[in-house]
Amino acid sequence: MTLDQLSIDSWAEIQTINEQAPLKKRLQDLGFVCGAKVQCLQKSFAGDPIAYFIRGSVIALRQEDCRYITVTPLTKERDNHHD
Amino acid sequence: MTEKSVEHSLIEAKHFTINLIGNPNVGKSTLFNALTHLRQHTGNWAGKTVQLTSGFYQFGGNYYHLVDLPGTYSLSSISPEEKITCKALCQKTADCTIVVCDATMLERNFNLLLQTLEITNKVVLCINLLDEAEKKQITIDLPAIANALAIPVIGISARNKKGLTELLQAIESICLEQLTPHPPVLCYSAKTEKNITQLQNQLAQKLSSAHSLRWLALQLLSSDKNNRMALCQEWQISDDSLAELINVEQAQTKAISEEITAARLSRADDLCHHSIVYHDQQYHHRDRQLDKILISPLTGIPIMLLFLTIIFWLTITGANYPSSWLSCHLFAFGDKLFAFLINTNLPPKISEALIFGIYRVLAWVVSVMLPPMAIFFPLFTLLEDFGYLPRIAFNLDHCFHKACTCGKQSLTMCIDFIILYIIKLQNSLKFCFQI
Ligand SMILES: Nc1nc2c(ncn2[C@@H]2O[C@H](COP(=O)(O)OP(=O)(O)O)[C@@H](O)[C@H]2O)c(=O)[nH]1
Repeated sequence: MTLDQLSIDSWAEIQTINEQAPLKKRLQDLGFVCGAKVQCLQKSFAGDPIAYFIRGSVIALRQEDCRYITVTPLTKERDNHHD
Repeated sequence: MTEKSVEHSLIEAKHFTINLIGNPNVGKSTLFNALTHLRQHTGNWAGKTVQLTSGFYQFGGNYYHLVDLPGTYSLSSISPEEKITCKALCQKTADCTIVVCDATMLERNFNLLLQTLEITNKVVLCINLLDEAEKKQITIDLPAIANALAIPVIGISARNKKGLTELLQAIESICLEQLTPHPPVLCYSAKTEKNITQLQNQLAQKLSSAHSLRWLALQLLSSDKNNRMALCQEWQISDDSLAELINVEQAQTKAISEEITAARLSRADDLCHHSIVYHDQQYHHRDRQLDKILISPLTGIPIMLLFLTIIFWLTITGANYPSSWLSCHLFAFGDKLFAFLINTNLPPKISEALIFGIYRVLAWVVSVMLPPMAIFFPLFTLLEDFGYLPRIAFNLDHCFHKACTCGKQSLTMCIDFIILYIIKLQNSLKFCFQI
């Protein structure tokens, strides 16, 4: 599934970022790389943009950019964010 | 100081150039202003300082030229800000580079630091917002970071002007070459390293050694065709010579790019893991709970409207009182001034023109414009400090995106609204006073 389909409060591991993503380099620099863990925090009014928690900070992405990122959901709740 | 010693110190004084870099919103402008005693406006938005700002300060008898480079998350992407910053660093004209980081977001900030260290070794790491970190009960082991990276690491709080002397001392010792940092080189896989060395050697024959060849080699290896062309233009390497320089293929390029980014991120994680302790695990949780209210689809917009209404109401209604007070006093003073001018030898026509023409208009403008601005801008700054502005942008982004702009635009609109209001006020005043 793609990142925008991740439900609120759940965690996922990033699988791939599509080559076509216009913001690919920027996303990578912010920590969106294969294997990174990301949590969906909040969807905005109208469902776009969406706020994510990654590498200790919060980042808002637009849906159109999220569609380029595929993830696999993690079932285990991660309570400890900084381990 | 006697004249002689002034002359003496001028001869002895050295001039150094210092680069100031950091992610957006880490307090770079605040630090810049604190060091140079300038009052450049600080703001919350990335890319605010697109043109370079520079200033001077003096320390220990030497002169320092501080260049405030645009805030960026990275040096490897291709936005205009990143290009400017990267180029300034690569030319190695500075005697020292200050990398400013946000103590509460080091994981994100270290990426830029590690990239900078791949370009130059003359780096001072400046960890800002220590007061903020303390509030969130985050302890940062500065000596541990300094040890791991072999560069000076100074903790400061730019707004409270704490730790600035230590920072200036660290910069001085690097500029005077009392201290030459040797940060460990971030190594990649054997295969990539082989490519880097090869390319680096070839580049050495084409470019002056003043450039950061390892960095340039890394950039060339990891960028796609278009970016490569842009890089070549920037560094004045001809396309033909490049074709023979790089014999890696497009598919490999992507792999290298990913490898490099991942290596930097994992090094940043490593550093953070060994030097940062979060005592209050709940803090993050509380922040999120607050966000659930401030930016949720249900309550986000009503709360935002409430905030903005309160601010506009305070600005519009609240400004009436100081406005009328000001105009009352300014006009009373104008009358006195008129009485005084009439008693002098000035022709009455000129006194009238001065008072009724110039003075009164000025008095109106001041009494109408000053109070709303003096109320609105501090309130807006308060919201900014509280971190609410990005949340407004988040709430409104969708609507503004439809209009082909972004949520940040909403904030400019707030300011525009107030300015429009002030202009309207002025027009109505014209009517009241019948000019
Ligand atoms: N609490 C605290 N806030 C700070 C400090 N330094 C800067 N700030 C705030 O951080 C925000 C961003 O600062 P600014 O200088 O505009 O960041 P820049 O984008 O990096 O230039 C401003 O609201 C500052 O008031 C500090 O030492 N402590």
